[in-house]
Amino acid sequence: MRFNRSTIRGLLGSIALIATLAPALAADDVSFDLKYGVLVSLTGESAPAGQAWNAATKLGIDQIKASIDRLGLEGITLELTDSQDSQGSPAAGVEGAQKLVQIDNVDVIVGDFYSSITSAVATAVTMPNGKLIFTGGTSPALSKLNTSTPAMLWQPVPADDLQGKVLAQIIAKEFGANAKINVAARNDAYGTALAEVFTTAWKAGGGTVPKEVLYNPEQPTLDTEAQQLVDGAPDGWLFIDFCPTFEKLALPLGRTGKWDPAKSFGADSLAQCARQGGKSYPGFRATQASAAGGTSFGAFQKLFAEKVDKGIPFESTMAQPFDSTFVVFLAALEAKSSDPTEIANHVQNVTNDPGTPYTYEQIDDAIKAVLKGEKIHYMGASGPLNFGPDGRVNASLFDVWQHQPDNAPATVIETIAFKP
Amino acid sequence: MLQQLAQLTINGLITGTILGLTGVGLTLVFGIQRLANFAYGEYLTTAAYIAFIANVVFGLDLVSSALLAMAGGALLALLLHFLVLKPLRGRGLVAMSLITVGLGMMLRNVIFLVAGPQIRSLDIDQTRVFDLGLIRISPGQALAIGIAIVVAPAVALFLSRTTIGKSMRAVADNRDLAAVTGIDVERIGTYVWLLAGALAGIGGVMLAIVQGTFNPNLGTQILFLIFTTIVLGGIGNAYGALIGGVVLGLVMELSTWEGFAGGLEPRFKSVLAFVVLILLLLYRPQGLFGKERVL
Repeated sequence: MRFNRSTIRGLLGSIALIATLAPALAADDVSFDLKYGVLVSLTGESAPAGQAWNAATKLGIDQIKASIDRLGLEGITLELTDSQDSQGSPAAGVEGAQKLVQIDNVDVIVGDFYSSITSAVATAVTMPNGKLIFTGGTSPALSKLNTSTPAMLWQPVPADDLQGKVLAQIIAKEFGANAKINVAARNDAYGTALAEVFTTAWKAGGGTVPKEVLYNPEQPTLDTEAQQLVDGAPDGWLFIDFCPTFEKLALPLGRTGKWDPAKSFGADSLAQCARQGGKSYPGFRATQASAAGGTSFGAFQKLFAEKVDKGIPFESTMAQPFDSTFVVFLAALEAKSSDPTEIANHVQNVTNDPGTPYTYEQIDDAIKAVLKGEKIHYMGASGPLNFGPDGRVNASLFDVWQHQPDNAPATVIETIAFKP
Repeated sequence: MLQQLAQLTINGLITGTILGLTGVGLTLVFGIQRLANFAYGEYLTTAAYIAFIANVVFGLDLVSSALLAMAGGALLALLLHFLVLKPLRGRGLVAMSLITVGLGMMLRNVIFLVAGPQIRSLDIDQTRVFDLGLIRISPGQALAIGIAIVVAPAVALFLSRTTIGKSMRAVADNRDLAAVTGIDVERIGTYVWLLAGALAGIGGVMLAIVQGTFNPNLGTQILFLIFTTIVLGGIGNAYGALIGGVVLGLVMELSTWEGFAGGLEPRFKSVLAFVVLILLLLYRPQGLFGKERVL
């Protein structure tokens, strides 16, 4: 068979045209409507963090939508359907989640950061309805709710069983393994569970806990609790609380004349109280999963400052809901579906090696890569994520934040690798 | 141990006075308006924010700021009475109580919207300490004690010596009988909102000072304890609320004293308030100072 020159030219032209259009054709194949809902404490004692959580989720979705527009992916739509206020209460949380799932028909709920609320919502609403939930809760019990595969509850924050041991590790490094540490914790699921993990780890290492004070955060004053916490001549202190309540405790502690913030450690939620309008206690240190270790964390912090209302305080933990929006979207893109189970099947795929690493700043390239069928690893603003099959991140890096003088924002003084 | 007892007594008196003063307003409103006002906590919060604006934003001194907060609290109570609660009167106790729950949520969210969720504090040095031997108190606590020493007797005198005060107690005790004797029940109803708002105002400022910091949930956190106070003192009984608040504050704090078989764990202090409430409702439903009513 012989081809004339014009036939060959036509054939080559067609091949070139197909090669040029291939990605666009692949993109045209992908079509889904992805609906997010936020469930978080917009009022209540954790409102500052709740407002920031809501803003960070919206920010993430806006970034992805902008990228979709830039790439001209008309078949894909993203929507933050609604933000519901859990009021810091499981009952209100379940009610809000029911609205999101049954009326708004969202595919994924981003929230809540209260483990008690997440647990109630996952059990009563999201799991029975086959919806995804990306929580900020840190209770180790949460991922155990995933009784079948794929996991439908995802924890982008390292659970407290890790954090409690990390706290024991860094406190031992400071005071020695046999030191006496008084523990103060809010009397709720978060406070008591983390206090127990720490106390067990601390005693196992040879240390003692002369006083463990569990208190009701809604008490009008915490002077009595402060008095008890300075008893027993401790070498140091551990506090497990949120900033607004911690302020109520720290002021009377200071008045005892026996408390030294420089000998005090706190859990993740106490890392950056000055940013919430509270006071900083120079020398006070707190651990947090290494958000600042994320390569795009600085860019996220800048973006938050630019786009979010100035009255909403920034916290490094807000990288987690922000990242959750990207993880969900990229998993949906790879699955070519907004079906929650399909998304769940792809979460690990887009957050683990092997795969070309992309941050949120490279979301255009990440989308193109997924559409080409390439394997990617989304590197969160909060770190590499590395979701496991149980729905938990496998982070091993923790930042040690330190409060600064003159109410300046806390800074990361050390990033440590946790050694189980 | 004696030092601990002294410190706990002072802590209890401070908390108790706040409960007592705010309880007077709430109990008189209940007695006169037949209304359980679940939005009352937000009156405290609003007043604290008014004081914050006056003290921190405009640089006024704390006393002037507290007076403005009292005036603001009174105005808020009066406005809500005329705009919302009075037009809805007659819907029944349960319906009206639910309306005040909604009103409270609305107010709280307005505060969140306007003031933001940040932690705020009034301009007072909370790190200083007055060491008085057995006890150590902060300037904020000292100021709260000072306010209590002035305001609590003033309220008691107002209720016992002035015509309006006596009328308030009379209407709270028996509305129909008071009306028959010529008391203008409607007018007294308006005055009681002013008094309740003003007391919520001073209570909010005291709470903000004593806690050191506050946010829009300030009043919500203490509302249950205020209700316990008025049940303890006898619903509608102003003196009972004053004393009931102090008793509740002292009981909660002193229960943790090591001299009492090692003391109760602090986390059970609010449980203790519940226990007190349940026992009272079981064995003395009219409260410590209320009169038993026989039909």
